[in-house]
Amino acid sequence: MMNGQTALELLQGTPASRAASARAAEVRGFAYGQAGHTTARWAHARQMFWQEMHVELRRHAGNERFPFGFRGSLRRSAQQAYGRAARLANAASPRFPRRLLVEPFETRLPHELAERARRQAVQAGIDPDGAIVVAELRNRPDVLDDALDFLVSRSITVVCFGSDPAPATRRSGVIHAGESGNNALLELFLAARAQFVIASGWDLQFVSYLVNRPSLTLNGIDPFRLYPLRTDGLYLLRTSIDLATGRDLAVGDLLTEEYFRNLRHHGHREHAAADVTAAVQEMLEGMSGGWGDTEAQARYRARVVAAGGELAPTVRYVATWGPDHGFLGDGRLARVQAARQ
Amino acid sequence: VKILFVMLHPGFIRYYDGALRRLAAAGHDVHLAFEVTRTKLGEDATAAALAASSTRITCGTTPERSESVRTFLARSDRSATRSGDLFAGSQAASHEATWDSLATTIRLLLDYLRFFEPVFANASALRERAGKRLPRVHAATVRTIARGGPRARALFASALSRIERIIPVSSALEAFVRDQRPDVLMVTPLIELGSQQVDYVKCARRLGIPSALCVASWDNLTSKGLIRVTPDHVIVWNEAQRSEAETLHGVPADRVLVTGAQVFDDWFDAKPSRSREEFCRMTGLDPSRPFVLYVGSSMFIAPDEVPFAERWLSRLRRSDDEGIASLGVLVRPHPANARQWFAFDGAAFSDAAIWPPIGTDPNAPDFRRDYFDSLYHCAAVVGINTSAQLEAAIVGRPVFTVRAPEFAHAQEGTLHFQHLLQVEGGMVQSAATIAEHLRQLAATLAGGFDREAQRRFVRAFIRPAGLDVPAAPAFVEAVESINRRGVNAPHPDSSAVVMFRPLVAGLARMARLLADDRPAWAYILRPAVTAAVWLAAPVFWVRESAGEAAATAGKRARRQLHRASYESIRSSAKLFRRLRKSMSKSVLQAGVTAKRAVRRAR
Repeated sequence: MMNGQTALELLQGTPASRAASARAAEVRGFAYGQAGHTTARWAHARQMFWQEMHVELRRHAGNERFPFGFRGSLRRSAQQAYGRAARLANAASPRFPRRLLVEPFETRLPHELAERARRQAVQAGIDPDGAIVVAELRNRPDVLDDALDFLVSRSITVVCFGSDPAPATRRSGVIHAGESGNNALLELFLAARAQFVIASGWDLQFVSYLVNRPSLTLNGIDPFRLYPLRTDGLYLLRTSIDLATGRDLAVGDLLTEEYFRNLRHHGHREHAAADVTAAVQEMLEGMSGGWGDTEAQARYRARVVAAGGELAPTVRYVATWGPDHGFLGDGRLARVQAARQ
Repeated sequence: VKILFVMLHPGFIRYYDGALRRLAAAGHDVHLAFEVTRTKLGEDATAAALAASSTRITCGTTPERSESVRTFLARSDRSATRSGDLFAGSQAASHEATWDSLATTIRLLLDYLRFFEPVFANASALRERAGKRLPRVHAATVRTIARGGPRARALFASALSRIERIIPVSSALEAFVRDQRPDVLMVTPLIELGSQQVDYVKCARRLGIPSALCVASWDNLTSKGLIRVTPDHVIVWNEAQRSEAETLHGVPADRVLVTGAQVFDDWFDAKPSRSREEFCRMTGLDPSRPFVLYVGSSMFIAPDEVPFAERWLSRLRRSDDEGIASLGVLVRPHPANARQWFAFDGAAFSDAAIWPPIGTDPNAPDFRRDYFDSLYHCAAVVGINTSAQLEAAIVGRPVFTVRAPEFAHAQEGTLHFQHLLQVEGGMVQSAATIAEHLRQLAATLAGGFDREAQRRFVRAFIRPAGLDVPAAPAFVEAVESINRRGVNAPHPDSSAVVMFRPLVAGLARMARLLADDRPAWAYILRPAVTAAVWLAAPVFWVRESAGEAAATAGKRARRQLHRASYESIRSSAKLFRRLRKSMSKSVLQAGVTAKRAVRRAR
């Protein structure tokens, strides 16, 4: 899928989008590494200094020619330097500004671009004014099969971007609009007109915030990063697996420091097709009947927010992607998964 | 013939198992010396089994290095902290560790530099891997020099090679080789990044012992480091490797011996241990349908292979061709990269299974037998880039690969992958997309398999002397021929080497310091911190001593005060008791006197 930066470039330039784009630019700065460059560098330099002081003092603490008491004192000083370095490292890590994206943006494509995109859509056999859902196919298109069938049965046209279409997914009501990223304008135009988008990850989810469309985000591998910000968002977590033992991890295991210590120690199993279908059904229900949390979904959010607060001081990943001053998002984990927690 | 075979770790035995047994059977004594121990895949058990197979084979370790490559690399971990002075310890140990640091640095520099040659233009992952081993300042230097073009690279490489010649061989290592008194010294793999096995080749040259590098596997000469000091002989599998040894490592043609791939000898004579039906039932596949074997690759080649395998399997199941869509699929994880397959969603696909189960001991008796059975009974083999594809070619199964973007570093980015495609026209059918791959698979399974082309590949790459001629006897013959050529004249250090050594010793000290891989400013800051610490130490000592003296004096004063008060209280009490006694005595006496006076008055 096109990334959010491309989307922002396409959306910029229209009067209505300027103010919103300035806000989005802050988010873009975070997401694409352009924000706080100088501040981050300065914090990093200070962190490096204390880190090196720690190394040097610790080295001297091992010198047996010094009196025992002095070595102990050096060790304590080294520990203090290390503590400062760790605090600086955590403070220097960028934070995902969740609150900035909660309010809708006033963005629209420039008229000329919108017309061009409309023509492209019509050429591809898509009715841009009809009921459509944009879906991003990444690794296993087959897990979306039932969900796509369900949408088609509701007279919704599904426009897929991503993996090259396997013959069996070529069905009536499902249109493959090409490899993702090949035609950013068309993707953005359709995403903006879709009833909702099915995102395979962060990029399309971000675009859905820019064009103010509901989103169902797949492939969450931790509870924090893809947690939806707006009330019309859902996400699904993949089943995480401890690669040392092959054990499936529960959500509680994902909210521990140990989990984030080395994310490569964990594998992630693809979603069950039934879960994706249930989440799509929940999206349609939410759009027609209003959004609300079940007890399990509310409990899950509270649990993740609480864990985020606890982990952020020590886990850099959570400091970056966790709650923004206690706010994680108004969206929710899909009901089908929340009920299992 | 007494053979000293230096191996990096016991895992290399599997490449020479049959050949070593043949050497022992031919009456030669073989001592295997391992630089590091390894038990991850039960390699220690393999060594024990080999040693138990013949009294002529013994196993042991090489002398411990003052600074191994592993220690050198660990020192460059910026987040790690260490106590103590870098140059502490006995002078001799520190001296040797310093030379080891320089040797490792020079070898890693050469290894990194080679990946800037035009032939490695696509090998960005290999280049990156080699660069990561070096302290950053050295890596930056190499990159700068490499940008200067071929002449700059050649000059730098030449300077590094000259320094390599000046680096002395550890005395412990030389004593070890002398004690062994081998007629032939062999090493493998030698080309690991920064390998210290170079010292054994140098030592053999010093002592006049014929030396040989045994190239263990098909990727060794292209995906790893350089042969930095050329041994007397290089034993390779085939002509392709001969060409690599000559062109990429500068080995003279007359030093290269081609023997074939002895590691695969058993595969030519192997027979399946069970019928196809039994095998399918055991693995959970449908015996009534043919199956494809998906062979996993190593960690470097395919760190995230499961998503690709699932994508491939998903597309296979959705194929228009019913025959392809209904194929069974057996996944065989790479033994050293099996853990990631825990995430494989086998339940989502019908007639798909993983075999052997993850965590199976690769030294278990059934492991190899099951592997052969899986190759023998399958209809085709699919993989990214792995030696299992060679084994499949030996067994005679069609072999396929898909050039996926996530594996570009391991396919287009490695030279050994090209062997699969090019040697004698190649034996792997390569596809740019899964859709193209499925078409190839369908065509092959429909009878379009060119077995003869595959046999030509196997002959050229695995058994160059003929498909019926095993490689292990050729290997034994090569070793014997090396011995027959007689001992070399010893090559002690030349006077120029001895003269330059003190100069290079300064470089060695610097290499040892720089191996810590601290930022440049940390080295500038270090003397100031050291001075501050040394200045603080006497102040601390004085303060501590003064404090101690004051504490002692205070203690004494307190004790004396206590004693004084104790004594004074005691003496006061005594005085008081005396006074009381004398007073009561006086009162008594006064009473008695008064009584007497009253009596007298009456």
